[in-house]
Amino acid sequence: MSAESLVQLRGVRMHFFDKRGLVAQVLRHEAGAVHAVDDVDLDIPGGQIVGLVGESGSGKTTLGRTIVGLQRPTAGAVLFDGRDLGRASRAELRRLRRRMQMIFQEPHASLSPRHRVASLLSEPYRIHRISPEERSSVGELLEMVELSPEIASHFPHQLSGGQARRVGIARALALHPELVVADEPTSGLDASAAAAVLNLIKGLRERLGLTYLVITHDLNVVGYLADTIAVMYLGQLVEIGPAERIYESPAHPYTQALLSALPEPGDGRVERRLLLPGEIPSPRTPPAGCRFHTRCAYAQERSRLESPQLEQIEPDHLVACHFWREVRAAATASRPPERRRDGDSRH
Amino acid sequence: MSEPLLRVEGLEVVYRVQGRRLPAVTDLSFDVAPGEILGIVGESGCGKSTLGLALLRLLPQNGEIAGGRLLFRGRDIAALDREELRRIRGSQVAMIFQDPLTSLNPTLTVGAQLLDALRAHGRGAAKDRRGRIVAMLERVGIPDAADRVGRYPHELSGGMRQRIMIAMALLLEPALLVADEPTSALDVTLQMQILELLRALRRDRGTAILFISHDLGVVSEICDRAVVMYAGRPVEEADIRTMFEQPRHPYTQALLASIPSWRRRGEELGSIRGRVPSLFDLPPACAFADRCPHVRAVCREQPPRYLGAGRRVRCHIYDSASGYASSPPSLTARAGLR
Repeated sequence: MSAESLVQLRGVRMHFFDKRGLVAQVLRHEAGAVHAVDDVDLDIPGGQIVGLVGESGSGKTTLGRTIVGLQRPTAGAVLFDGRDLGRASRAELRRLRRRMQMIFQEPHASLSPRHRVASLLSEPYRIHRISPEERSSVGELLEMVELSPEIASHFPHQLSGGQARRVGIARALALHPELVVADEPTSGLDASAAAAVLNLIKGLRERLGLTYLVITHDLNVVGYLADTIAVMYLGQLVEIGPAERIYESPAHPYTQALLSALPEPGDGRVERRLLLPGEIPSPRTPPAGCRFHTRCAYAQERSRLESPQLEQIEPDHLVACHFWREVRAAATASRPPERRRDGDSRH
Repeated sequence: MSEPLLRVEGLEVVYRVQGRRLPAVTDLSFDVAPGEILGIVGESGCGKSTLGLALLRLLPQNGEIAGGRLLFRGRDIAALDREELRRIRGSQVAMIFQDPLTSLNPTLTVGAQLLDALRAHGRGAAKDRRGRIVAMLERVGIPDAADRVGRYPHELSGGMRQRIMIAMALLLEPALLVADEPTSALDVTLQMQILELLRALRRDRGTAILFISHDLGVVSEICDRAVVMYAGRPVEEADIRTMFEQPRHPYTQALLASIPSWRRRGEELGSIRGRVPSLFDLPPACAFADRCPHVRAVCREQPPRYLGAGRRVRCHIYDSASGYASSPPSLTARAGLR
């Protein structure tokens, strides 16, 4: 793996115990835990946008929070710029955490309603005790996210969804981080406001040389933004690769199913037969063997017994599937008919 | 064209908010043919959900139908009395919402709620009802349906609840289903399952669907035609392919330009400058004028007419009598789409 990666995850595992698992926790019994994240290895190279996609319940938000140090992993290591966050001293951790920031999903929920925007934007400086000469002015921060200066005196409830999202981004940028973890940056926004936020995220990467982890369930968003895409299912990464490869030649059946479910405007109405049956199982009792086998059309006896490991199938393209060769071959053979327009057959 | 199942004519819906009149829907007209899936598209606040509520006369206390007609099989829904309305609701026109928990009763089992619906409309012999309910649950793709009828809504996953709400809406075999953002809260794979279900319903039973959504991708996938709404009024209507391939209204064009996708990597996405105007304080002529890249003087002087049949657009650019061509471009027009 490349030495220049800003973030390196090595075997990261995050298990939770909830009320139902209390007895299990007391007995230190792993079986009662919610397996939110299991054995994740991932590199985020500096300057890249890595997109982490998955359905709700896949563990993607938990992984994001673990990366920026909001949660300590149950096992494994998070390395930032080569430093293991788990082994860093308190003071060092504090310094490291300034360099990575998270943009939260619910902008209104993450902005305290009693504070004006100006105060919200300088809060990170107070928390991290940054000297005045090192601070960006409120005006500069607002300009960075293309908001007008008068927003500074507004309270969060006076902001539109798009404006609140930008304030959240400005707040994350206040400490001049190198890594920004953006959790569902466009959820809840109208089409036009969402487009503006995506343009902004892209623009800031160019201007500030930021590295991003963009967490989303929206494949159109990662397809548009990300250089590298990581697909997560039930706490595990099932495929990682350059965006072009993932879109053009997905090798994991789950990735294929997600992409085939993607409505694309301008595509016309298309008949799709590749339906992913059922729903994501509970992370409390993940299926044995390959976690996807309960919904997979390619599953065989081996899938139930043996958990597939990520293997490299092309440069920078990894997949965790016993049968990726068959999956890919089937996809190339059947793709055109699957995406056939149904307009002609109906009339 | 055959007799429409639903004809909306010049609908006006007004909310009273702190003594002021808020025009939520203005001059809205369209037809839905039997078996047709019509999309109603727009951003939040455009009036699309209000339309759905008006159709079932479910508007909140402070809302009223202030003008126009809602003709279902030729009868005006707005003029029905309580008893007639009760007979039509559910059995002729049914609605599904974005959040199934708002329409499922948490204190009753799934089976009990469905049974209530059948009983209230006197459908089926008492001894057949349970079988009918289980069959419907199986039809909407609920595994172990016979077991699930005894469960409470909170014991089921989001996708299951969505299906149960759909089953409830379909139990009485309505001719028209009003679906307000039925898949917005769901992941893509579930979303596709629900869309497939709605398509099958139209195919097998000829149910017409009014599909209300902000998601242009989903609309392009399931609808035959669509109406785009802005600030309470329709701005464009076309069959779905035409809408996506040759959008005419500058707002429709801007919406389509804003959708991110894999194919548009490297492009700047279109975004519309400014904000949706407050319905209390709409521009006097064209509601989109302040945000439009093609705005000219006439756009701020005269309300544009909603012209055409089947393919309709509300914009001076396409109205040869509007004087748009001879009207000087507005200064702001040069700013263009941001």
